[in-house]
Amino acid sequence: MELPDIVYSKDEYVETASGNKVSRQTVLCGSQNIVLNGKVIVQSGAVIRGDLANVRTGRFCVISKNSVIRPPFKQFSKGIAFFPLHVGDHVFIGENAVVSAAQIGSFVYIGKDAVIGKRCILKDCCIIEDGAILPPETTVANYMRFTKNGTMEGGQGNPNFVPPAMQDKMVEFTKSFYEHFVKAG
Amino acid sequence: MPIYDSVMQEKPPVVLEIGRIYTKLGFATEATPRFIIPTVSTVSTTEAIKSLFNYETNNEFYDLVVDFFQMLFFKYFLVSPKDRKIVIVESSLCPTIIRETFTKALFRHFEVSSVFFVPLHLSVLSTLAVETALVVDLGYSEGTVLPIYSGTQILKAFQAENCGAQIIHKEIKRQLMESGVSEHLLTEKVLEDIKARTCFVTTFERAEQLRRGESVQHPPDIDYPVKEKTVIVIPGKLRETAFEVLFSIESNLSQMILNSLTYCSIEVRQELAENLVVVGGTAMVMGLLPRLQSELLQDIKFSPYAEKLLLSTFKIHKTIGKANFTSWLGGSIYGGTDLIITKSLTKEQYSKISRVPDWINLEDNCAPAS
Amino acid sequence: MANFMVESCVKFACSCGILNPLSKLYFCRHCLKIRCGFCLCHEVDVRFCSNCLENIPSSEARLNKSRCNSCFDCPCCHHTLSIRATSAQVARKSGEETPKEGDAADPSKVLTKKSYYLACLACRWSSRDVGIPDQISAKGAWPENEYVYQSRFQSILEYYQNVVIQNKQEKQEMMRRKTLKAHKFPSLTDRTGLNVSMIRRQIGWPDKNTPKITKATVTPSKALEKFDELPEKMFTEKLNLRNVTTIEQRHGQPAHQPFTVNKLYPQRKNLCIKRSLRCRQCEHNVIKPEYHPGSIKYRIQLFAAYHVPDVWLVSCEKPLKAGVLCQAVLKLSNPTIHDMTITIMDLPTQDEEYEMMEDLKKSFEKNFTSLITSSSTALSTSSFSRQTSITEDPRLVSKKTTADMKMLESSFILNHRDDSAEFDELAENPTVKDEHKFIVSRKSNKVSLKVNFTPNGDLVAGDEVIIGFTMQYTYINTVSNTPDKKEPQQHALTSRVYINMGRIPE
Repeated sequence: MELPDIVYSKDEYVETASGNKVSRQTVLCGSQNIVLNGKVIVQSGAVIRGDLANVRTGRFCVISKNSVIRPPFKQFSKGIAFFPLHVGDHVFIGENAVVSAAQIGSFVYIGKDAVIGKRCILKDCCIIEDGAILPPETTVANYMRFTKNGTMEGGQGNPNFVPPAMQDKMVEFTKSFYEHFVKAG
Repeated sequence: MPIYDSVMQEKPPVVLEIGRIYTKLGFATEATPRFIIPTVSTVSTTEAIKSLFNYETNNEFYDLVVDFFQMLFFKYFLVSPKDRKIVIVESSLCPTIIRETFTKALFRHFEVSSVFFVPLHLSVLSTLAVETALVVDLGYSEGTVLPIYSGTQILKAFQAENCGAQIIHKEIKRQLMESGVSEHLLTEKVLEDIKARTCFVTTFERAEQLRRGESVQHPPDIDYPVKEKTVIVIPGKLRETAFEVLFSIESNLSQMILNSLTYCSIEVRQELAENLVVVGGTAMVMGLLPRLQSELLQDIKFSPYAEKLLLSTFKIHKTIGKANFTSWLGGSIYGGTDLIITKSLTKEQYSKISRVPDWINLEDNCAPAS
Repeated sequence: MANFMVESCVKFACSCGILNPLSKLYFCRHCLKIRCGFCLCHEVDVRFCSNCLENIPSSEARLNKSRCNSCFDCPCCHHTLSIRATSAQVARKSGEETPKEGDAADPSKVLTKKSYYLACLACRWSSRDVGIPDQISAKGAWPENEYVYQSRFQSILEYYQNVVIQNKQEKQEMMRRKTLKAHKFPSLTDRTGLNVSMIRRQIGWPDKNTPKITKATVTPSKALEKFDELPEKMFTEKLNLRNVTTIEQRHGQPAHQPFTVNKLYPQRKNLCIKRSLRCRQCEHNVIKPEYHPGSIKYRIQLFAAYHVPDVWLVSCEKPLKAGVLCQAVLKLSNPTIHDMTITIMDLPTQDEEYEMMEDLKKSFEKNFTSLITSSSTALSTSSFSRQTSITEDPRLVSKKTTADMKMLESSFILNHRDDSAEFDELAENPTVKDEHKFIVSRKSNKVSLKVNFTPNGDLVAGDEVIIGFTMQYTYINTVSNTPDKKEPQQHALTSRVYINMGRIPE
């Protein structure tokens, strides 16, 4: 089925010059440290903690409702330090997801209710299933799917788990999500 | 020999023992399997996880087998199956459909170069370097006994009974439900876990006392967390008596062995009785071997065995490695010898006859008419 | 575009008869056929560690039992272990290395010595739990559990290898003796005493008949009469479940299968692979990933989505009723850079389907014979293995349509894909004059169609309504596999499409 249009009211979202659509009902702490590279949708209830460290996303990202983007920290003997969080292009972050990764590549799909532990590295074209919990410092390689049961499946060339044309799929998906995310009236 | 050696190093044969619940897999000439994994297949079309032998139609079974082998080669072995030699350890009485489907999948779908079926019971002997033994294999759905004398399987003395993990799981479930645990908590996985972590085979003396109905001080109870926040109590009695079903009237391990011995000719009985081997996952439970021995010594005193069998000693071999992969180990040894070249079913042969030659088929088993 | 995580309601039939969404299908450019994961030959292409993303060549992988050298899995929960560093203060001895940067603030006599241990951040297991001493280097030589039966196994294996070879030699000897007698004419070399071994000796080569392998011996296993009885504490002491391993943990270490958790050792991480897929019919690669583990690119990527027009279900009249005409809107898109002419036709009947299967089988055989004849001139051993033409049988499509679809009266053109149109905001849709009635709208390379169908009268509530059709499309092959024809060839290809329209409501 074709994606249905998601209609928002004019007052709810702010559209920037670069095409970002950011809800007014979000918590964007330290907004000077947040860079959204264009055509990014940040839905209501999302929290982006730019006050902790820099957060940068690429183009055509979707940050769904009530998700939390929180730069990771590391504890040292002399205190803790936060690290910047970089997100690539065409990344979808599902509802209620909590993301503390150090790095998220491009064309990544993070399911709803997923928890990405601190300092995880998500490589390009990987999938985190709905409700999966990624323990801290995990690396998810390209074309891998981290399942709800905590196993890693797939791999490039494997016809199952992650679509072999994941890159195209994510480009298609995020672009059409943006196209179908329309202002009322 | 040098060419053969390099071939072996280049593409070592793959050895599989596909059990009802667990599959043992590794490469030939290695001393342990690389992995022991549940025999489940992820259906590629729906991504559902299904037990390999839980099928309705033969076509479905074939698809499950293909997906299963796919997983074995690309997730565990990490080698291309094409033109590889395969060793499958299997009971010589394995159903034809299973054997045929495995072979069909391996040759047609994976284009392997040869498949070598090693009889499970026979392969156990090679790990002990003996020629004569009575092999007891305790798997999930059944326990089987097959005596082997001088390297020859005495098939008429083959015995099989449901002395496997399944009946033990059933017994645990029955006892727990009796003590008031609701059934939905007791999944097969939980039962297996309870069995493996808490239960053991009690000593002969205590079992006798229990049979007579005397009260015995049972081992302490255990609080067992099933799900988050749900804790069930595993009674000490259960821990001690769960395995008693293996020595009950319906399915009796020692009687199965003795029955098998009575089918053997009188000359070989003594030697077989002094060369018992117990393999399979169920054989790994604590206390099984001493108990089995005492049971055998007890049963031999009574009818009908007292008249038929004049035996007074039973000796059991200690397996090298763990009992659940002993037969796999045999496959590893067979696959490491020249037999893999001479005795395998090759792709060329298979393409001609499109079936697996089997001892049970008269076409393969008759002397050629001359 | 539909969410690819949700199962697609549009399925395409592969040439082998299995239904798949288009995203799971491939297109062999040389056979011009759709292929799926089932009917392609999978091969291991690249091995790498999914944690450190290091590429591991096959020889090294074999040596390390296809496990990573530097990454470990937790023996408790099978998650990847992290290397933690701690520093301990040690009194500095003279002549030791200068303190590291971190200690610059404290240039006193105390030296902090870094040591490393492994910790699982998922279940909190650490290598200290089982008494593995901390390592000085991060890559540390983590202790491996010795397998006690290794030497015993090796001796048994060697013994049997010798036994088998011995048997073989004896058999050959027998055969030789037998055949010698069977000769009609005596061999000349035998008479002159000039036999092979003599010549070899004269030349100075070693004797061909290697000395017989001395009879191998191995001590057979001794059966035991006495066993360790159950420990008495089994009946009295309370068992702490936390200290007992689960079956999964035991199977994680097949060689040892420890019963208690204090014997769980970190396990080297198993490697991952990239696969390449190959068409079984023409032996060409359909998918070949880039060599580098970190790359997401393909060297060859023949996805069906790049060649076959995709179909979406845009909307469908609800509720569906058995026996009542319904209308639905489909959307087709052309992924190629050439215009396509599309014709919607009926699905093949069962007989036709059988015929197609036969054709497919024949084409395989033809291919094989041609392969053999072409290689028979240079009869190499490698071509031998290809001679046997046993392959997967094609099958019937498992799904049956449960609705009768009214076919469209004529074919139509599907415009080619134009990447620049996306950026061209003023792009006018070229209006086709003689637009068919069934076409709802056109937008660049996409067309929306109206289709009518009648769910079968015998459907009851809860049954799925499935429509199906054969889509014929013109395909321009830009790479011809015949070298003499250089210009692109046009083909009319078909694919069978099945669409699940939903269920008959209760």
